[in-house]
Amino acid sequence: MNLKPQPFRHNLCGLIDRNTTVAFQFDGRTYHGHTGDTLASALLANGVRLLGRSFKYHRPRGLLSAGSEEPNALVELRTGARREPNTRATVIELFDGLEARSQNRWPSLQFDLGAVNGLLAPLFGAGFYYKTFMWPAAFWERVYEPLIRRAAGLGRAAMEKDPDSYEKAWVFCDLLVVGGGETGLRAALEAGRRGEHVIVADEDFRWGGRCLAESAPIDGLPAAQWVDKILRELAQLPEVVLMPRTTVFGAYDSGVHGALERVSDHLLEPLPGQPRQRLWRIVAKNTLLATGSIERPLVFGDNDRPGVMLAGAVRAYLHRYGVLPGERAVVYADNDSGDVTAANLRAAGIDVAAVLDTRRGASVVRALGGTALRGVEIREGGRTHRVECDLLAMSGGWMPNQALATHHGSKAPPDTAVRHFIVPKTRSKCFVDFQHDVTVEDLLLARQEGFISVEHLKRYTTLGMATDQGKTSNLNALAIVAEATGKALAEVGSTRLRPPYTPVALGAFAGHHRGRHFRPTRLTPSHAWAEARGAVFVEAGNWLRAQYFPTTGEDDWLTTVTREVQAVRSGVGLCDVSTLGKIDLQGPDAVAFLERVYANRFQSLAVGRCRYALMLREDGMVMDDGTVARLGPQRFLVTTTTANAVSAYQHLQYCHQVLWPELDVQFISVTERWAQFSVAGPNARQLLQRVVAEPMALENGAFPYLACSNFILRNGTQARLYRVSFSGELAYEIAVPADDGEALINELFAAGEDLGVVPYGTEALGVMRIEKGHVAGNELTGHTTAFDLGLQRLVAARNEAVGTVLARRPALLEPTRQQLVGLRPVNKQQRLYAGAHFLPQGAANTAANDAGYVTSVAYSPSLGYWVGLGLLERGPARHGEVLRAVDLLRGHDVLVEICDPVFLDPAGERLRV
Amino acid sequence: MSDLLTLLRQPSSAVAELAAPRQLVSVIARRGCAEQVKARVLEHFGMALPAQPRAVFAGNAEPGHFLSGFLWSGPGQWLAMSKVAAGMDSLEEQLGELLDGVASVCDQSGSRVLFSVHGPNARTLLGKGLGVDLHPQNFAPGDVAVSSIGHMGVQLWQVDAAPTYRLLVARSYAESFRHWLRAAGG
Repeated sequence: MNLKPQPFRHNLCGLIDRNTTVAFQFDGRTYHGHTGDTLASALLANGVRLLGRSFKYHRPRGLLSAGSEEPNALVELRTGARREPNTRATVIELFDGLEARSQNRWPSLQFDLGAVNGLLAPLFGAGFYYKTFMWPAAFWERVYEPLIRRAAGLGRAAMEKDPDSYEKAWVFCDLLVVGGGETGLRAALEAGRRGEHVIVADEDFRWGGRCLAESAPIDGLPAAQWVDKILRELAQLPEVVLMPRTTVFGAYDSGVHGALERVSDHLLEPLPGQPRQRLWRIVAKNTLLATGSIERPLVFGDNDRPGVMLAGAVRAYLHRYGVLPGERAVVYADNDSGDVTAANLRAAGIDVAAVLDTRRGASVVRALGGTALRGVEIREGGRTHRVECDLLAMSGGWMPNQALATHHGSKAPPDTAVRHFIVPKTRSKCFVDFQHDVTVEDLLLARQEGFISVEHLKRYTTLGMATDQGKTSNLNALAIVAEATGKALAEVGSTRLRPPYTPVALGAFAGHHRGRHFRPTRLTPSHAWAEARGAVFVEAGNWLRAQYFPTTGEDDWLTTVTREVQAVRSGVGLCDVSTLGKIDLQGPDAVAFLERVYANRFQSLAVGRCRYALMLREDGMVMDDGTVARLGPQRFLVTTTTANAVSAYQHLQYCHQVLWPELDVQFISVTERWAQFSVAGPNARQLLQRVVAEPMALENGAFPYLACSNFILRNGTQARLYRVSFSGELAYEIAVPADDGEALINELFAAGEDLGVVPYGTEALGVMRIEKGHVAGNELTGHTTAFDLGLQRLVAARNEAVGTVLARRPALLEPTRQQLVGLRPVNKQQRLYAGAHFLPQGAANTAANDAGYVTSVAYSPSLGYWVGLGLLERGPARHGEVLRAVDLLRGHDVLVEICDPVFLDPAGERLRV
Repeated sequence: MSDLLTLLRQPSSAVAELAAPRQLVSVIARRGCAEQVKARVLEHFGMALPAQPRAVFAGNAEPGHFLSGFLWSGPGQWLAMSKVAAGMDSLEEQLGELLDGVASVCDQSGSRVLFSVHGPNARTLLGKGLGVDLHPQNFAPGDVAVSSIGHMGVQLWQVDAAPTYRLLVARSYAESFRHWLRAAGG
């Protein structure tokens, strides 16, 4: 292999593996680095110091830091479906075959046309979006937004489906140590020796944290050797778990922490069966934040030139990666680390041209150069002069990394030790927030415009709002504001950091829950049976329900549904209704409880009878409906709609546990216990007689409409039978233990062949309920009352149930309210559309003329034309009136006649036969 | 130091779907009657109903008795399990008679499917979905948890220190739960 030399690699120092050389690409050029490098250190070793262009002004940028706080060196990593924008080169572990590209530049990184923005800088000051893109309002979405999106933004996300998998997991511990540096490792060892279950998480791929970057020994050993010694000791402690490459990104309530483990990001692609990343929820009894500190940059003119770096980063590249970040350096600091850095640089053979200390009255006015640093302009002892250099190592001291603590709401007082803060007078830009291109000038302008509170200042200037959350910029901004206002830093206050600490891919939050498995699916007892019959399924909450059952030659759903409805109305049909919520409710106070949670009465309900039940919300709106069957003096079976099964059950639990714990009532969901089928149609009784052990017991006299009873089937199965009807036909719902469900539907189907039995799905169910004017989810919108739905007669006058009091508010009983009506097209050939609005004939299509809307429509096979239900102002008084049903979105305008919502058998004779 | 990563890479836990108990019955004590329920069950079945999230079985294990045992399901609430199918006299009827006036009893047979997760990596596997600390210090054989995995409700108990866990899951979720197990098993 013909290896290109790494001209800036130091021959001796560094914790990289010089024996393993890996090849990688940046902007299409191939370079080489070593195992143990980051992309940043490997590029530096190859003399590549220009890594990207900035967000707003497209200024050339290099490396500021050597860690996750990096605001500048953002690259697109990988290609194709795995392309990931805004990845920080400083934390990308180098691997063979790595491909990265600079972003936010065109046509090339060296020559970027967008840099013209820098010349227009006066236009792009603080709040320029708000000032510039104001009018006309019609331009907001069509012109300005696309314009802003194209000009700004960082990098491009992959458009293809993510080929990798992600995983989520929980883990528990006595002590979570966040950060595997010297402090974290010592703490883990202490706690581990006491037998505590300890987890140590560190975002880095190598243990040791900051100490790997320094030349100082620990306990007399070189830092890396000391770390290895501690790791060997930790390995002896079975209850200590080390999680490298794991960023604890959020601290939440009850000791729960979110952490992202980059399982495979250091590989070309994940190993077979391995996720790319794993999202951990770490639950800790105690947490130790050993998250170290972040170095503060200094503020001066053009302080963003590639080659201007944090002094700590310079030492990290030198000591940990064995890289010489430059050939001739200037060191600039307001603390003692300046001298340390200079000594380290000299020891590595780098020429140190000047060491400037603000405490000694020296400062940098501005950096010189364009795509690379060429020198600095220095002010010292009242004189300004220039020094040539290609590296400026700066340090404004260290800020404790308190991000996770602020997630819990602690707004830690800023480090008051920011002293000797000098912002030079220069016409060059002095950057505070590098990632969002926010300058000192922007901050002062915003303040001048009245954004005094730091939270307002943050939002107006966008300082600290980039993906780095201002890790290197927040404190400088506060110090500038403090100085400008003559306040102490603590008085200025600080902004809060939010989870995630560093960006987390959405895929990690989704884990396995993507595509079809986005949420779990519930299958009915007859699912396999329906599948074998070619059913088309529809999602109803988590359930998959048979929507319709096409047979040979039926190529559109309406043909199938029409056939199913006709078959039920003329023969008999079977529909799985197991998805309805079912609650077994017992106890001495069962009746009292039911009469408080449902608006109607149950005292009078006889054992062996069912009743329609209406549940109201506290504000008087209808919440859910269903049936209540009295199985015994103190035992009831309550059903809810499929959609509200969970929320209605929760509501009942709330009512019992919180509102009336004194009521002696017990209830539990039995939805999963029963397979339940609707058997509907004029031949329903005949069919059921063929499967029950005592056919005579089904006769009208013995088992009338709304009766319920236990039956024994001919095969010995215990069944419950309810004579209820949603279709308006003679109908029963037969329930058997779920294990017996499939056998029963097979038996019913076989037994009913000569009776014309068909399976029918939710579509036919919907058509028949619309023909009968029964309300369902489309009408139970949460904005409708019993009065609106024509169910007022069900609300017991003296019953003080949840919602009955507020339902009596006068405005809710106004006849002008939108109330339930039926509608049919004047021209019977025309189709109706749900969602269309009622407007008077000849009236303009304005909201002021809107009198209500169409909630449900269906083609009625029984009538031979489309029918619908709707909510219309003064609806019940307007039967016979002709209105327009207008759908401007889909372009329909149909004349409709308002009528009674019950289209079929208004006397209900068919269901009582 | 146990290497979590290695464990996750080589899951050696055995996952099996078992025949669910033939009969399941919910028992909920009436208001203020929990002690009477416990007393009657103790007298009749010789089993002490747990007040804490624990399981109690006939004998010390899970023999083929008519009544296998009870799982704590909530305050004053238990799930009775039987391996024997209902004959003339179902478990619901039997418990209904025994606890008449002191508890509400409701048949749940067929409403759950049963899974077993067993082996040294069982905890790691379950940890991919279960927010319950199964560390031996906190969860021992006989302990019960009512929780959820991947948005599916589960009721689980620990059988032995291998460790072996049993999980009851609503039958309609069986297919999705199998998928979760396959995905979590890697």
